[in-house]
Amino acid sequence: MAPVKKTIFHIDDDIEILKLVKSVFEKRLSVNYQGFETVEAFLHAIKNKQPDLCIIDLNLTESLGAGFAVTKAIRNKAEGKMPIIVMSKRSHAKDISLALEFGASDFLAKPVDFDLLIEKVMYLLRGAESNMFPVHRIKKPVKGTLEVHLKPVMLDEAYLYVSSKFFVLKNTTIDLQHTLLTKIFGEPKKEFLVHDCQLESHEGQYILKLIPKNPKDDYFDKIHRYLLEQT
Amino acid sequence: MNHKIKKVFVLDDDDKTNLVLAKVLQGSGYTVKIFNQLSQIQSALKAEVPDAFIVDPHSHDAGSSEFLLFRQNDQVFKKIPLIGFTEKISREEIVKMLSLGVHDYLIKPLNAKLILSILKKYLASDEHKHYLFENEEDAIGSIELHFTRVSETNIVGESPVKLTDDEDGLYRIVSRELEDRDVSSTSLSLSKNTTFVSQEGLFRAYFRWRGLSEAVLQLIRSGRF
Repeated sequence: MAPVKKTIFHIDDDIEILKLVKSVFEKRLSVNYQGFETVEAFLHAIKNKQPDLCIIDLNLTESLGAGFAVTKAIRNKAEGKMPIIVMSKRSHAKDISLALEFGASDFLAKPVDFDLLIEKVMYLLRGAESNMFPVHRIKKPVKGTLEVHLKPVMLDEAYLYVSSKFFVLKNTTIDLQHTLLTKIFGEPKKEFLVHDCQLESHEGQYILKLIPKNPKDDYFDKIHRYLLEQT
Repeated sequence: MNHKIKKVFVLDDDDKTNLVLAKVLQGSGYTVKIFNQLSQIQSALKAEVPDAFIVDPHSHDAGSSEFLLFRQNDQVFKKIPLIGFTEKISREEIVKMLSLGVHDYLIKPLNAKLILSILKKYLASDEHKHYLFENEEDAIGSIELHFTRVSETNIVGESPVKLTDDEDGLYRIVSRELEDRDVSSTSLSLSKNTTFVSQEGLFRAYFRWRGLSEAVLQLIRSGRF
């Protein structure tokens, strides 16, 4: 029996892009592709059938940035199961971060690099089918710790800036360990909160702005003293 | 935002001026500490580092001349802006004051607008003070993660981090609770699945098992993991 073709829904206000993607997918992927120009048509189609993957533009006919709301709505409806690629010419760090926060699985900047798009689509579709065994919910979630390498970039009176390979949500608590903390505070570890996370586009790294979590009275004094010593 | 409130230390034995000065600065959002004696300010400096000093260099009872020398010889305090605030002074005295590291000076009586704008000028440049790291070792950030779902091939971890690939050495998972279930945390590798946002607003990462004992597999199959 022939394998069932995966379905891809794509929304973009530019009909030429839809035509182009359709023709490339037809030549290079064995998928059912459907393009939509309006949010209404796109949401109507999703209501009838959940695709295996969605591609969403950010600036749509309805309004600039409407794709953010569509991404969020689709993610809420499909929980974590369906991959969403946001593909847009809005490629500032803030747009990418926001798209990821709203539930995009990946981001691709326009003009479209079709080789990259095909790679991403194949990668995400493979992932969606790789777990064929029944998944059980763990009744009492098992606790663990993710230890992530962060590169210290800069310290000023307000923030500690570190770069990260991974996007981290705002307000995440990070228990940070670094020799600098011993130098400044006399203790090797300190809890920080992620105040902001932005993509440093040319480096492909995220810059995290960290602020102390529950700082003691002397926190800023110690930072101030350290900065004075260094300058 | 977490910006600190700027702190100003005043050394002067003129109580009336101190009172007005404190009121003006506090009204503009500064924390002010007034000192009449050298020993008081020196003792306070052991615990706190102000953002600026305001000192009357003619205030002999307060020991301001000694304070200027003390500050000049301290590697940290000499970098903190100091504003001289005094009665009329001669050209020679101004030169002497500047040679002792006084950044700027004002003539009494107090002109509120002027002192605030001078403070603002020096503290604005202070805000850009920063330290750039060069070739420093990586920091390790520990972030909470919960395993919520499990299958014979994968275990799902939810965290605020969007793990994107399985590059060696960029992260590791530590879980005593997994170890307690006879599963080594090091046996997990991020599967080819990407990560998705869960309903709770976290990212779901699918980790592939690498070698599970038959007993653990039985636990998973029976839904008792």
